[in-house]
Amino acid sequence: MNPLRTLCVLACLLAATVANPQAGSHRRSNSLENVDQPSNWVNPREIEQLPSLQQVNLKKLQEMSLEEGATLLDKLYHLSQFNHVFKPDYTPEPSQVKGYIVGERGQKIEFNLNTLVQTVKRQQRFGDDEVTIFIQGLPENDSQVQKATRKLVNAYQQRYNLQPYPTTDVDYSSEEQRQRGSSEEQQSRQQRRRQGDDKEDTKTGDLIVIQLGNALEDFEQYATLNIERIGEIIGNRLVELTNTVNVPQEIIHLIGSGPAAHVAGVAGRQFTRQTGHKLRRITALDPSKIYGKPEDQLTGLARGDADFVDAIHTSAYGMGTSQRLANVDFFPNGPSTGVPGADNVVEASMRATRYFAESVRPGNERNFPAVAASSYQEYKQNKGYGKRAYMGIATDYDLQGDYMLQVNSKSPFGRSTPAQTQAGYHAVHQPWRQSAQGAASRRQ
Amino acid sequence: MSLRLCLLACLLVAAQASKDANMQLKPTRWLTSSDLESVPSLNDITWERLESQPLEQGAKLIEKIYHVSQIKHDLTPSFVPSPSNVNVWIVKSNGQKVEAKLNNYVEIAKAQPGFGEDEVTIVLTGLPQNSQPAKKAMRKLVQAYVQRYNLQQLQKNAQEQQIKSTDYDYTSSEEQADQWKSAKTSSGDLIIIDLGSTLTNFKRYAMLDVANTGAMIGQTLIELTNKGVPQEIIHLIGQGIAAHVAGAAGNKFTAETGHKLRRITGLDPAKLLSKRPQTLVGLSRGDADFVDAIHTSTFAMGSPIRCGDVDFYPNGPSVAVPGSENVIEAVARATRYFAESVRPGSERNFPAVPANSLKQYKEQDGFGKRAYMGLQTDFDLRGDYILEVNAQSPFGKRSPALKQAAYHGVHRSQN
Repeated sequence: MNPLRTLCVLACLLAATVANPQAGSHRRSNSLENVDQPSNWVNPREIEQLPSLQQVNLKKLQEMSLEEGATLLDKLYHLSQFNHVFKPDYTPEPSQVKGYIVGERGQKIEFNLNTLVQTVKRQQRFGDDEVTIFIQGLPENDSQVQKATRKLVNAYQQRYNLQPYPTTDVDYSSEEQRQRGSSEEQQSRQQRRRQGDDKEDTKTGDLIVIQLGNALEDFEQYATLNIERIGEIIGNRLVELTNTVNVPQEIIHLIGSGPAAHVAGVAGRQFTRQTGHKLRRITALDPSKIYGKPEDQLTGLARGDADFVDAIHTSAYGMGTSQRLANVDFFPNGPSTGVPGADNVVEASMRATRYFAESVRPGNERNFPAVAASSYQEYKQNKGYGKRAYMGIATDYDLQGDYMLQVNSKSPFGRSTPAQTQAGYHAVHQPWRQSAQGAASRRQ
Repeated sequence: MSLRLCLLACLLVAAQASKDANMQLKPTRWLTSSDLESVPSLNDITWERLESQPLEQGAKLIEKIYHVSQIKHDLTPSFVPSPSNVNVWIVKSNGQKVEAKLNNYVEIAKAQPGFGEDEVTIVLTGLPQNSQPAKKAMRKLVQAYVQRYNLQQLQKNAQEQQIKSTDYDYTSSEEQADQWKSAKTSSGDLIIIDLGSTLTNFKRYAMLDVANTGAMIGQTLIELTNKGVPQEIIHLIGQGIAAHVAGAAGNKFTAETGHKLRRITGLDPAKLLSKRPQTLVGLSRGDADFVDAIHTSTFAMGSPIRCGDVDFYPNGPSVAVPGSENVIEAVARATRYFAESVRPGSERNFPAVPANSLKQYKEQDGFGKRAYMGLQTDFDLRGDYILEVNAQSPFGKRSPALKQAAYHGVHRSQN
C-alpha cells in the first residue's frame, strides 16, 4: 500500500477520534458494567472542562471551595502522569532564591543562596545549639503562606529565647519585655545561658528561612521544578555551612513545606553524599505531589534522607500527597482533601505549618496526640493500635508508621490529651469519649 | 472526496504537532479519547495474555490501566478469597509438604513435631501458580528454604560422608561449591499460602481487597501466636500484590495484640488499582519491626512507591530487571533473587549502594555504605538502594571480596 495513503488514512482516523470526543457511551460510574471498561472510567468531557494551566494559580485556587480545588488538582496530577507530560526542567537561579536569618532581636538578615554561608559566618555564636532551616514552598505574596510562615518564625523565636516554666531563680530585669499574648514570656538568650538553665523541652538555636516558594511564580514552574538540582545546591550549601561555620550536622533540622519538602530530602541526600554523615532530622510540612519526575530515577523526600524523617499531611488529596514518605507520617483528620477549618486547598496545605508552629511554642509540644491507624475512621472507632505519639517538634525519633489524629478548626489546633485536661480538674475525671457514648446510650 | 478528507486530516495532525509545545498547559491534550479507547476491558486481560506479550507491551498496558484508575480514583476493591478456597502448604525441613487450607493450617502446623521452635517463614504468593515463571520462582524459594532449614542436618551428614549433588533437585547453577558446608544457618518452618491462585483473572487481581484479605490472614497469625509461636520469629513474605496483603496482615496483628511481627518482605510490591476512600493501604514501614522490599518491575506490574524501611531497586527504577521476558516473569524475579540469597553461602550475593538511579550507581555517585539485599539485609537500614543483577541465574553480582576467598590464584578485580 502506498505509504502516503497509509499515512493519510491513519491521520484521518487520528483526527476523527480527536475531533469527535466519544458521545453516548457515558455510563453511570457506579454500575458494575462500568468497572470492567477502563475506557469508561474517565469521561472525556470532564477533561475538556479542565482549565489550561495558565489559568491555575494560587489566587484562583483560593477562590474555589476546598473540594473543588482539591478535585481539580488531583485530576490534573493523575492526568499528567498518564503520558508523563511534565519534565523537571525548571531550576531557579541560586541568586534569585532569597532568604533570611532571624537575628536575636527578631530582625531579618537577608541573603540569597550564593551568599548564605558568608552571611551566616558574620553572625556571632551561630550554631551553638540547634539550627533550624525552613524552606518555604509557596510564594509569600499569598496571605495564607505569609501568615503560616510568620507563625512558624514567631514560634521559633519564642522557643529559642525563653524558659517555659518560670522559677524563683529567674531574674527579670526591668528591660525585659513581658509580653503575654498566649502565655508567652521573653527572656534574653544570654541570661538563660548565664543561669545555665537547660530545660529539656527547649533549647537555644538559630532559624534560617529560605524562600524557595517565591521562585515558583506560576503553576508551570511549580510543576516542573527541578527538585534534584535545587536540592543539590542547597545540600552543598549545608556542607559549606558545616565546614566553614563549624556547625555540626547533628544539630541541623531541615523543614520543607509543599514542594520544598522534597527539595529538603534531596538536600539531605546530597549532604550525605559529600560528607558521609546524615542530617539529624527532616520534617515535611504537607509534602506536595511531584508532577515532573526525572526518568528512571527515584525522587523526592524519603526515609533515610536524615537520621529521622517525619511528615505532616494536611491535604493528601489536594496539593499534598497520600504517599508515605517519612519514617513516620501524620494525617490530621485522616487522608482527605483538607483539614477542618480550611476553606481552600492553599489554606489546607498551610495548616501543616500552623500545626507544627503551635507545637514549637514551649509548653505546647504535646498538643497533638496521635494514634497509629490506617484511617480516621479507625482512629475514631478506637481501632487504632500501639502507643500514642505526639505530632510536631517533640515527635519521638523511634516512631515508624502512620498516625491519625483529630485537630480543631481554629487555633489552638491541637486537641490536648485527656490526661492534660485531667490535671486541670480536681473533680472525678470522666474520659470524654466514654461520656459521649454514655450520652448516646441514654438517648436510646 | 477521500483525498480532501485525507488532506484535512493531515492538516489537523500537523496542527496537533505544532501544539505539542503547549501540550504541557492544556489538560485536554494529556489524555485523549483515543488514549482511553486503547485501554482494553479488564475482562480481556488474562494471565496468558500478559505472559505471552513482550515485556514492553505488557508494561505499557498495565501502566495505562493504572493511571486511568488513579484519575478515576474511586475504584473500590471487592474481592476477598474464601479461606476454604486458599491452599496452604506446610513444608517440613525434609522437603515434605503437608496440605492444608487457610481456615485450618494453624492447627495442622502446630501438630507438626517441632513446629515453631526456631524460625517461621510464611510466604503469600501473589501470582497464579499455573503461570510458568511464578511456579518456577516458588519452587526455587521452597528449595532454598529447605536447604537452609535442613542444613544443620546436611552439615552433620557432610562431615560423615560425601553428599552427591544429584540427591537434590538443583537444575540451575544456584548451588554453591563448598560454601554451604560452613555457612551459618538455623532450622525453621516454611508455610506457603497460595493467595495467587485465587486470583483467577485480572479483574480479581485489580479488585483484590488487600486490607480485608490481609486482616483475614492476620487473624490466622494471631491464632498461631496464641498457640505458642512467638511473633518475633515470624517472617512474612508477600509476592507481588500479596506484599500489600502481608502489610495489612501485619497491621491487623499489631492492632489486636499490640506487638509487631519481626519482619515483612515485599517481593515486587504491585501497583494498587483499587483503594478504599480516605484510607491508607499498601505495605509500608511500621507494618513490622522491619520491612524490606525488592522492586523488579517498577514501571510494569510493580511500583516505584517506597514500601519498606529499605527498598531495593535492582537495575534501578526501570520497566523491569534484565532477562525478564514478560511482566509476570519480571514480578517473579524478586522471588528468584530472594531465593538465591536464602541459599546458605549466598547471603551476600547482592551488594547494593544507597542511590536513586542506576546511573548514579554506575557513576559511583551514591550516598552511603554498601548493604546486602536479601535474607540477611541489615535491620538497621533505612532508605533506597540500587544494585546491578545478572540476566540469568546466578543473579547476584557477588562482591570481589567473596570471589577472592574462593580462589587461590592472584585476584583480578572484576572491573
